[in-house]
Amino acid sequence: MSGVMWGMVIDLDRCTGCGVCVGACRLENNIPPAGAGDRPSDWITVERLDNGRPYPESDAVNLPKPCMHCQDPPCVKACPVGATRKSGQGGIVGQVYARCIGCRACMKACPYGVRRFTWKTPEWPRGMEAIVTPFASVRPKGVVEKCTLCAHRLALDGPDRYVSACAEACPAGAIAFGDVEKLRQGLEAFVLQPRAKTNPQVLYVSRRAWAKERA
Amino acid sequence: MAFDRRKFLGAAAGVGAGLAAGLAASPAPWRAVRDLTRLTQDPPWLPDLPEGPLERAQTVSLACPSGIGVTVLSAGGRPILVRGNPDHPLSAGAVTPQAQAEALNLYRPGRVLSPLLKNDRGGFEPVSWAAALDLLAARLGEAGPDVMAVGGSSRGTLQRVLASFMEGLGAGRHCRMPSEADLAWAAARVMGGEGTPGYDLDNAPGLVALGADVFATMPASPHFRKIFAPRRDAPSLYFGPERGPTAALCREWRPLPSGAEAALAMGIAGELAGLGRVDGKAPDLADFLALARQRFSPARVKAMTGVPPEALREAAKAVAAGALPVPGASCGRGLGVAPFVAGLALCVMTGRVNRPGGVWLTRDIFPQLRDGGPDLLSRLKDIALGLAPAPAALLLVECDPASGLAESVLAGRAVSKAGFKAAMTSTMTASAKLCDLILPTPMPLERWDDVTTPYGLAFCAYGLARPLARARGDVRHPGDVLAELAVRLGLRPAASSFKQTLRRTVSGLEERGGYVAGPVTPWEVLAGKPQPAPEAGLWEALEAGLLWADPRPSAGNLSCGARFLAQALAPPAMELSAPLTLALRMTAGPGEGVPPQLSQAAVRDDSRDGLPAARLNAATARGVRVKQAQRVRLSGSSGKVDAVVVIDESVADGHVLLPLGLEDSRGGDPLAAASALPEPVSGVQVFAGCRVRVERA
Repeated sequence: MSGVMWGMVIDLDRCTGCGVCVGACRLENNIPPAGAGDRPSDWITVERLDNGRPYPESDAVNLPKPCMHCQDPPCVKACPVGATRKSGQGGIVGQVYARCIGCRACMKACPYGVRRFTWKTPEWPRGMEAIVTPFASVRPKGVVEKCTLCAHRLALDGPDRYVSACAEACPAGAIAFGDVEKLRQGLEAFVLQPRAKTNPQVLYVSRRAWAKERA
Repeated sequence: MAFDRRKFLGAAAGVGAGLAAGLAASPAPWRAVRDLTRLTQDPPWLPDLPEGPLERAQTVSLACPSGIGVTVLSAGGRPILVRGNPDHPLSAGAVTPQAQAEALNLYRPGRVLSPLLKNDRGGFEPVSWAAALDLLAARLGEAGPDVMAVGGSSRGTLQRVLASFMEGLGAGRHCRMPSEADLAWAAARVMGGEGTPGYDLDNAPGLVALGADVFATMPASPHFRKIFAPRRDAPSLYFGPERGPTAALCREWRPLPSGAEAALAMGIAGELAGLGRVDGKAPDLADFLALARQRFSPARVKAMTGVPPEALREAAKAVAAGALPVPGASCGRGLGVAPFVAGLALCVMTGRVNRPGGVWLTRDIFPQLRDGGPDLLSRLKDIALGLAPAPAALLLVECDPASGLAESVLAGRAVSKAGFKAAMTSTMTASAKLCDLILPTPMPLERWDDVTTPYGLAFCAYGLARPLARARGDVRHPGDVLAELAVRLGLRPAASSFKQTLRRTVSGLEERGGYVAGPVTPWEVLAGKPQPAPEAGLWEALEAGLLWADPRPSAGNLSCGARFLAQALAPPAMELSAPLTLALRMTAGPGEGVPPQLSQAAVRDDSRDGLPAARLNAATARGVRVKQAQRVRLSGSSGKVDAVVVIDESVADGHVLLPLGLEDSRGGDPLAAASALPEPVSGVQVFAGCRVRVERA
C-alpha cells in the first residue's frame, strides 16, 4: 500500500445532518461530553452551510468537518516541539499528546479551525467513564487534540479493511474513506478554503455550485 | 598543609562529580522524573483504559425502531462500543444515534435501579420486589376490569404478552402509543386490504415523499438512506414544511404546509388522470377520480396548500415514470388516516400494489395487536376533561404518554387522575414521576427482546436482541413481571418466562415460512428472485443477530377509499387568532433515548440556553414581529412552550418549527403547544397543521 494517501471524499448532497458521525467519533476516541458552557472538543463537527438567500430561494447543505490532513500542513510547521507530525504512511497528520506543551500555535495556524484545546480535565458523568475504549488515550487538560483519521484502525484492521469510525457509521454513505487519489477520480471534488493552499486530503463534492463557492 | 582556593575548588568539584555520579546511578531521580512526566501527561484522575482482549458480538438494536444489526464491543464483559453490523442487510455498517447510545445508556445517571414507591411527601423510596408486586397485584385485583394498560408503539412479543394479560384480567382498555404504522394499517383496512403498507424503495426508480419523513423519523429510514443516497440522479421530490433530513437526500424540496398532505395527494391524482396514466382496476376508481377533479383541481389545491400547478404536474409525471409516492408526516406523527388513504390511492390508481417498486401489504406477526379501538390520545383527553371515568388502575409499560403525545398537559392530567398508577421503566420519565409505583426494567444489551417489521419496509421482518451484559441494579423484564403478576392474580400466564415466550414466537415464524436473509436479500425476492429455503435452527440464527424476512404480501386488492375520503377530507377549522402553523422535527435527544452526553453535538443547534429553538424564516418572523434570539411563548389550545427565535430560511412561510426529543427543556414540552382535533370518520386525534399563538415571553 505504499503511496497511499488516506483521506475522505464527503458528498454534501448526501449528508442529512443526523450527527451519527460525531457520535461515532466521540465514542471511539474517548471525547468527553461538554458540560453546559464548555467548548466542545469534537474532532468532527457538522455545520449548516446555506446560500445566504431568503426563502423560497434559500438552499442549504450540512457540512461534516474533520481535520483536513493537509499535504502541506501549516500546523506541523507551527508546532515548536514537534508534537504534531505528518506521517510518512498515508499522510495522516497525528498529534503526540505527551509532547504537546499547549501553546496552541497549531490552532492559530490551522485555517479550518478543526483543532481542539483541552481547557478542562476531561470528565464523564459518574459511571459513564466505564465506556472509554482502548483506542485512544484520554487527553489531559492543556494539550491540543484533533482527528487522527482513526489511525488505530489502520494498525488493528490492516490497510485493506481500514475505514474511519465516522465513515463506517454514516447511514447515508456521505463519507467515502480510502486512498484519496482513487476516491476523487471521476469526481469534481473541491477543498475548503483553497486559498490556504494546504492541499487537504479531505475533499468535498456537491451538485450545488454555490456550495463550492461558499465552502 | 594549607587548604587553599585551588584545593577547595578541586575538592568541591570532586564532591560534585561524586554526587552527580551517585544521583545518576541511583533510581530515585529517574523515578521522580518519570512520575512527574506521568503526572503531567497521564494524571491518575483520568479514566483508565480497559485492558485485555475485546470481545465482539452481533445482535439487533432494541433502542432503535429500525431493527438494524449492531456489533457490540465489550471489554471484561462490559459493553463499551456499539457499531453497525456490516453484514446485516438493514444496517450494512450504518448505525443510528439511538443504537449508538445503547452502551452509554447502561451507565446513564438517573437510571431506575430498584422498585420505587411514592411516599406521603410525594417522593420515592425503594421497596423490595416482593412488596412491589404484592401491592400491584392487590391494586389490580381490586380494580378488576377497570384497568387501563398502555404499551409502547412497537408490535413485538412484549405487546402481545401485555394484550394477553389484559384479556386475562377481563379489561378491555389496552392501548399502545400511536405510530404511523398504525395509521397506514388503518388506511389499508379502509381500502379493503389487510396488513401494514411498506414501500419498496429498493426497486423503485424514484421517490415522491408526500410529507413523509422517509430519511429521518420513519423506522425504516436507515435502510432507505443507505440504498437511496447513492442514487444521485434518481428523480426524488420531498413535499414538507422544512428543508430537513429527507429534503437533503431528495433532488428537490417543494414547500408544503403541515396538514396539507391529503390535499396534495388528491391534486396529484387529478394530474395523473390528466396525463392518462391510470392503470388500476379498483372498483371505486371512477368515484375517486371524480372526487379529485371536483374538489382538488390544481387551482383549489394551490389555494389550499400553496403548491403551484407546475409542482403538482411535476410530481404526477414523476409518479407516472415510476417514482414511489410515500405518505406521512414531517416528523412521523400528527396525521390522521385520510392522508395515508389518499397517498396509497396513488399507488392503487397506477397499479402498483404488491408489485416491485410499489407499495406492499406486509403481513403482521401479531395482527391481533392492531385492533386497538379509539386511539390513546382520545381516551386520555376524555379522561382529562372528565368526559370519561378515570381507570381505577393504570399500568404504563415502557411508555411515556405524559411527554410523547400532543397536548401533553392533558395526557399528564389523565395519568394523574387514575386511581393507582404503576410504570415499568428504566429511566425516570415524566409519566413515571406521576406514578405511585415504579418497577425498573433492564436496558437494551441487558435483556432478551424482539423487533418486528420496522414501519416502511416492504417485507415482514423479525430480529432478536439478546443480553450481552449483566443487568445493573435490581431490575426485571416487564414480560417476566407480567407473568408473575398473572400468577399472583390467579390467571394463567402464557409462559413462565419472557424468553420462553420469545421461543414460542420464533417457533411460530418457523411454521409460517420466510427465511433468514443472507446473500439473497428480501428486496431481491420482491423483485422476482426465488426465495431461499427456510433455515433450520431459526432461534440460533436470530441469536447470532441475523434477520428473518417474509417477503410474501397479504393477499387482496385495495380500493381507492373514495367513500372514506369524501367524508374525511373536510376543510380544516381555521384558528384566526393563531397566526402560525406548528411544525415539528424529531431530534436525537434524551427524549429519544439518546443521552445528552451523545446528543449534544447533534442537537446543539436545536436549543439555546436550555430553551428549544423556534425556527421561522425572516419574512414570517417579521409578520409576527419577533426577532432573532428573542424569547417567545407559543400557545396552543391546552398548553404552551417557551422558546428562542432562530431565523432559518429552510422553514416554509407561515410555519414555526420546534424540535422534539430534547426532554427536560426549561421551556416545556413542545408537544404541549400542539392542539389535536378528531379526524372525521376515523376519530383519530390529528394535530398536523395545528396553529399556535405567539407572544414575547
